[in-house]
Amino acid sequence: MLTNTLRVQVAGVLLALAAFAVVIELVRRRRLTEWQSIVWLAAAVAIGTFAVYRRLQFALAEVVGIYYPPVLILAAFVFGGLLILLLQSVALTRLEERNRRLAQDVALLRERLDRLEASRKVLPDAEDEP
Amino acid sequence: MGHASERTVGREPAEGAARAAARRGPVLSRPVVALVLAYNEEEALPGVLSELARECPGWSVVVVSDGSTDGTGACARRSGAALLQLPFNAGVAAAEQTGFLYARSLGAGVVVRLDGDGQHPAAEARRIVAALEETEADVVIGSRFLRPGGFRSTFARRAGIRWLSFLLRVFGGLRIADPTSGLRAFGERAIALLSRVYPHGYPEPESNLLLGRAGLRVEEVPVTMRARDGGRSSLRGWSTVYYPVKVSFALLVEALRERVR
Repeated sequence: MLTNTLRVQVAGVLLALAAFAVVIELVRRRRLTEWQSIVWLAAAVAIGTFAVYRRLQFALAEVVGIYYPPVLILAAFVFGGLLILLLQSVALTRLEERNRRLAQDVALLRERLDRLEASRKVLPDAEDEP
Repeated sequence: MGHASERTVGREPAEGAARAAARRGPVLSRPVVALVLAYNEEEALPGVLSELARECPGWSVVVVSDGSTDGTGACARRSGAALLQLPFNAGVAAAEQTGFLYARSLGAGVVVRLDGDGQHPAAEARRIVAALEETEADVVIGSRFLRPGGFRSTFARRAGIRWLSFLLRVFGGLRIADPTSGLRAFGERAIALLSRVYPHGYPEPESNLLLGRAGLRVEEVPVTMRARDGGRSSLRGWSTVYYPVKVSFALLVEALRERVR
């Protein structure tokens, strides 16, 4: 029978490996750019590291002054998650902005096209009012 | 897409200017562009456009259809106005800016903004354009609150408008009684600035602050507006709660930005 400690370690490593595989697969299918994937790969590595080196959390908790070490991991992931959300919001705003510019350009170009097509008509009678 | 039979009002900048000069008293060197914003306004728009053609001959009329799904575009084409069609509903601010970009490409000397729902009488638009030329201001706002009468919105909205007016005074030192008025005329400097930077959402108060802080002269002239001619206000339900909060915050942030030049 495995000890509890070992079970947690195995579960953590499996989770990290699964996360790693999913991210790599997404990049391979071009559903995620290499740049975005780095953040998620880093997260997977962090999970794996904390799972394998259990003493790491105790050492870090002492440095920061946290009494109950597991809270450190939880807090780190919550803050990391929030940071990623903020970056996503920034990216979304930039996309919105570009989207708006594109829509405006479409409207302006369409108008120019209308005008060009109208001016290229040879006979004034050819205007097609239904 | 059907071809428009476009016998337009001053499509070429030179032609527009020439007509304007011929039909109106004072010689204008550059065309006046009437920018009509419409989102599903097929009921009211024909009236607005025919009134404009009657009251303000010589103006280049451009309709910005903000992702309309009804016959708004067809109304504009029938009247011979230029038509800018956004591929989806991008909001008042984006639609307005499209109009400014277009006006710039025409070399417009004045842009006057009207709503497509019939709230803004063409005669009042003409008056604020005249005021812009006389006072040599960069922006003239048509204000509902400088003289009695006409359509003045509901009590709650008026209270909100007073609050925004207060914020504009605090943040920008501007004295504007009706900062949410959509009926505004813009001179060349304002046109150039607004085709570069533009606030989001419902942009009137923010753009007034932006223009004021950029050192442009913003004047106000009393006008009388009508109640809308059909369709619905885009500000209803939850957005009536969201709007004042959003705009107050946007004004604060605008005040924290560097002044635009």
